[in-house]
Amino acid sequence: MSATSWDEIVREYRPILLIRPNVLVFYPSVGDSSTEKQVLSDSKTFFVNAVAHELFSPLSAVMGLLELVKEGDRVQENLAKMERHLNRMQRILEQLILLSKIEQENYQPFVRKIVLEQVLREVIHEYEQRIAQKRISLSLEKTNVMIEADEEALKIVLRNLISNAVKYANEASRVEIKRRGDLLLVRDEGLGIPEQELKNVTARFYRAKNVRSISGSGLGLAIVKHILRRLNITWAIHSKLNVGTTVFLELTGVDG
Amino acid sequence: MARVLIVEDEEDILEVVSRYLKLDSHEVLTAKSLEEMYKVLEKGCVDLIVLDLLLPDGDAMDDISSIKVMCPETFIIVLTALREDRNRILGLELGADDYVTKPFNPRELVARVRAVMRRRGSLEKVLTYKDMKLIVHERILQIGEETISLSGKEFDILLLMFQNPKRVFSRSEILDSVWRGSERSERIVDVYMSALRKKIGKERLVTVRGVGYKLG
Repeated sequence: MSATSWDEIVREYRPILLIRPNVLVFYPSVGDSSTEKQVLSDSKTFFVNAVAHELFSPLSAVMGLLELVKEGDRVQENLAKMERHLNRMQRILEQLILLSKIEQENYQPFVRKIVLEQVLREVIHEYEQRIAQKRISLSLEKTNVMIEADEEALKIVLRNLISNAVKYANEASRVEIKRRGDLLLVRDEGLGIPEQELKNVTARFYRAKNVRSISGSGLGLAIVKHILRRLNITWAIHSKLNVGTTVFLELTGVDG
Repeated sequence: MARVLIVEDEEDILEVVSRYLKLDSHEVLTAKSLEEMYKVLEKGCVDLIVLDLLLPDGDAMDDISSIKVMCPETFIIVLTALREDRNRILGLELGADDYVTKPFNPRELVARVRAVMRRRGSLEKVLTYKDMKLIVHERILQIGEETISLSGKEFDILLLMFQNPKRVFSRSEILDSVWRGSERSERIVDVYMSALRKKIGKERLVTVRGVGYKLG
């Protein structure tokens, strides 16, 4: 993505937080942008530890549900719940493995040509139940292209972005995933983020005031930032309170 | 049986813990956030709170002290994935009564609830003199079937006297024990004694002329 294209985006979408590998730039609705250097304030093992802790909640749920199953209580229903928690644990473990890999000094992303839409469909499939429950209409547009990416890292980033879009979208609203040139856009119509809080949303454990009644760890976007920084990828978040959020993600090697 | 409030944002954990506590004959209330927890407590304190620390609207560690001010008699069992010793120690220092780390077996949690409630039971104290029962943990007096509510100072006076029911207490002794450090006249003791005698009957709180008061 050329610098000019990001210029277009920040002109078109305000307020927006542009997250370059080494610098965060916040463009408010009105007024001048402010720049903050990205510093590695977190210890190398911080994310590994924090994400490892996340395993204990689904594990507790599985242990409890297993007790109910052993007693013959609503066996099929509780087994289905256990399966959901085990899938969540699998996703957390995959995230853990990637995080520990990228902490290694000689880490090299495994970049190869992949079909973007295929990866997107795999990730969307994981959230199908929640999408159906909230009666969200999800669309994919211009995503059937080849890109060059580390599939494992891309999947984890997309999981965080798509699950956020589904989580914070209004009932019966639209979630759009589309490609615009060398950018992927994930857009929801939902709660949005208050403008004064937008520049903080990628800080670890930060949760905007308007979403504090919704379950979440406050780690998702911090992990995305951490991964994309290591992969040298720029991304951006545009959001308006009670309107919705759009996340822009730089794609490399787009072909087709 | 206790009235237990579970504060946990993970629905399945909430459901499983609720079920096991109900099976153990407890009355169960639930909350999924700190905001919901305070709404429940505003309606009335509970015997025990099972409190998950990481909630969507904040770290509940900061709320342990507030809960203890709001509901001093309420026991708190902290439920968390934070395993470090410093977190346990901080939680206990802030007023939590026990600590269960995730992952946990629901039966273990039920056993911990029982243990904490047993501790509460041992704190429950009833002092008896003739037909009067002073129920310390509820700060009330029972005479036969009748329950008499007491103001804070009235209760403190009776607690002092029930601990030595045959002794005569001088006004200055009562003043020193009940109005610790405040510069009040001994006359205040007479005012309270008069009010107490009206509530419990003058034959149960007698004046010993020139000395003070004793239980009758």
